[in-house]
Amino acid sequence: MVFLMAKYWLTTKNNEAGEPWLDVAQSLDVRGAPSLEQKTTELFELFYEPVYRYARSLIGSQAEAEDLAQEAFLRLYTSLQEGQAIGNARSWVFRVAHNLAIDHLRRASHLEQAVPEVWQMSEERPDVAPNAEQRMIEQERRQRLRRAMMRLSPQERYCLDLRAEGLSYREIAEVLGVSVSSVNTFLSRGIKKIAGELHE
Amino acid sequence: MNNRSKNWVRLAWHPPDEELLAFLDGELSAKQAGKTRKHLESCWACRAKREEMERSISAFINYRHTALADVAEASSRAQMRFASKLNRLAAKQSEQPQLFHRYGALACQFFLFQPAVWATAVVFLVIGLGVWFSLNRRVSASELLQRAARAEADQLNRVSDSVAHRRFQVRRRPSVATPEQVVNWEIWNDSVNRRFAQRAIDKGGEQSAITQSSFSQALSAAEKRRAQRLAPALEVLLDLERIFQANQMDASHPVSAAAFQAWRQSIWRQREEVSETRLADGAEALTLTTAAATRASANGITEAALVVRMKDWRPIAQRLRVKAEGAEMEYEITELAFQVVSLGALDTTVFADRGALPPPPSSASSPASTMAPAAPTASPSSPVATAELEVDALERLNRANALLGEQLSLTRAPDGKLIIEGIVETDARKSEILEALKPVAGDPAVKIEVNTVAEASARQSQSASRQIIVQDARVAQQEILVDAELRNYLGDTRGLSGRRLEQEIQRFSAQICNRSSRARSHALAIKQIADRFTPTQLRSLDQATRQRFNALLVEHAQGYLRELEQLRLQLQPIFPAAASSRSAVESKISNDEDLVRAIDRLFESAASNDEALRQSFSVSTEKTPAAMAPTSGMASLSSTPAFPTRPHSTLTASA
Repeated sequence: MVFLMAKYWLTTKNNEAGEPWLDVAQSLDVRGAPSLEQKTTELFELFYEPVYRYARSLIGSQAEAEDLAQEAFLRLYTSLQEGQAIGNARSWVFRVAHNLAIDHLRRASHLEQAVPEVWQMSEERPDVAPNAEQRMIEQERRQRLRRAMMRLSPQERYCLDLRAEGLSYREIAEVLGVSVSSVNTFLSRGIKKIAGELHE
Repeated sequence: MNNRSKNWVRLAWHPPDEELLAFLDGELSAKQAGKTRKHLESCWACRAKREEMERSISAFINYRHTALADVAEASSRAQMRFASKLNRLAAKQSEQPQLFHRYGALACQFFLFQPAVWATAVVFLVIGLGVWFSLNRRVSASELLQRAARAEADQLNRVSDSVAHRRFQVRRRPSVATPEQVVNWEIWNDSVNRRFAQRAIDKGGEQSAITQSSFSQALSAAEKRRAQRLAPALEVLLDLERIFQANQMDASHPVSAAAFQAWRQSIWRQREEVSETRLADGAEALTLTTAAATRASANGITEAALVVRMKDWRPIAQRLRVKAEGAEMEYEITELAFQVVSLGALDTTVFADRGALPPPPSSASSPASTMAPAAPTASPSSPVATAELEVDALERLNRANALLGEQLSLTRAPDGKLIIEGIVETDARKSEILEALKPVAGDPAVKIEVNTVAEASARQSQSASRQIIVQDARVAQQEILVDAELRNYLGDTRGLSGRRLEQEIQRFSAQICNRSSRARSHALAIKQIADRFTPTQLRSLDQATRQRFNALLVEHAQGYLRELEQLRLQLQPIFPAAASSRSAVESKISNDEDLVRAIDRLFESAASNDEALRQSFSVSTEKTPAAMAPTSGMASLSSTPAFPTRPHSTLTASA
């Protein structure tokens, strides 16, 4: 019962921006409440896919992105275990994953490569257009978008990716360690660049 | 400014791109959002800009979606990998107690980050200081059990080939005014070969022999001998054994987190609490008390408590309240001594067990056993072997592991003599089997002819009629049938590649084949045992013999089940669809004819499972359609007759 309430509490106690908060009281070991392992597993189930997708869009490699995203959740567990203050669990995990990905790219000296391979979608990707003409149009669209991706600055791309995963401006700001108004600016510029490529 | 000029100002103002996007994203304050919304209503240019933004967003989202399309597939596998990583991490961290640390830090976090609750918290802190100390160290029931289970595993892992040796004191307290009974109980758990041995020691210090089987044999032997001294002690332990069995607890692991958890999960819990206690030696302990909500049937546990020492998270005592006929009984099992020894260092007599078996009824001068004297049932002049003698021979062969696929057979000659014959690989094996059969060898109704391969070929008198040959699992260098699936699984989830992947594929396949052949051997043993008697003969067995016969069957049924379950666990991640559909064909066993039929079906299905798995996991020269073999194998794996799923209940029911 307490477990169910805690789960309800965790998933419904949102602030105005709809951010899920990891409630502090929930982490206290109330009798019958889930263990930290269980809590971490729950958070993993909630946020793993978005975090993995984000990591994947940053570093491209499937296996490395998976390891990295999982590492972020293991660190969440360790931090909870150590009693560290974690306000918003979602942005916390995203921030750790982001930093791990940047470290990884630095080590592999790929940072200068603005767009990872996963974005350089080639024509082998499944094509759903039914006829030749539409296929041409679709290919043209993809090429334009690929060009747009190349034009984005890393910060713009991070912001767009995080926003695409449903994070609020404030959460994005927490992940990237920038101000909320910078997030707004990066997003707006990014969208302008995409629009420019699509409609030129 | 009048209204009209205000309107013009509003028309002349256009929200900047950032603001428009923030508006679309719901990030503006209510006031700003209202202003922007109003402007959009009247401005075509900004509405067009909004459309353009939305189109760009949806183009980006679609592109991203296609680029990252494979994410969802990876997710379920990732979950499994993460669970094991988390378990490892948790196990590592639980070595240092984190509880107090965690509470302290969390309390800090609570105060520091939510200043609004400062005042309330301080009041609470002052009032609840006393309560705080008693509550904040509470551990949840599942955490307690997890820690205890982990601690137990750690202790066993410290010694290679470990055997846990425990001594308990068992007290039985009937609620009516009969005196309390106290018995000492000693057990050995061999974690390598999954063997279990036990002995009872009564108040006066009299010991039963060490036996690997139930105390029921020892008890019937003691009764026969009219050695009533040990009988009450054995009765208490036998009752306890029945209680464990009736409540999903593993009787070979009393006072353990695993057994407690198994029971706990099998009931509706009415109430559960973890309380702090102090042991007699002053050490701190936690007691988990669980009460069952449903009305317990006979032998059902209504309430159980497990006492876990906090220092090392070791379960050291267990209390059971059990519903017996009309009354409630209480059992208290307290650990007196515990040690983990290496199998090599263990006294070899512990698992030898031969002394524990009653000697054959007709051989009056067999080596003395502490609790099994000879019962003069057959006169030496009659060479007809009794059913009891036959079960005895089976038991002895079983102890020597000679029923698991060796070319040995038990038959009866027309004159009623029991013939044990067969061919074994080496001289050493031959003498081992002869040694095991020694107590029955002197019986005039028994004829033993065991030869080595060399001897047999020299005599050229090899009887092939009852040979059952179990092939070895051999995985050669070529490709196996389910190569693609295995490669996919091991490559993706374990991240293996190159030589390591090849090695792992071979290792995995060999393991599956070996397990499958072990399962088949158990099924074969069951069949060999069952084939000894017709249903009519079975019914005419006396109760003690029948129980021993059943125990033999149960032992192999459990072995079979264990292997089957392991196979299922190993194969499920690779062939999820085939392995998860667990459609046991329920077949009722209400009499001995049903039992015999169920055993036949079990044997057939074990053989066909083994064939299917062997085809899939070992090298095949002709390539059949790859998808077929594992699926059909798994399908039959799941539709095994229901007989082995509850060996105990079905066998006792049919007895």
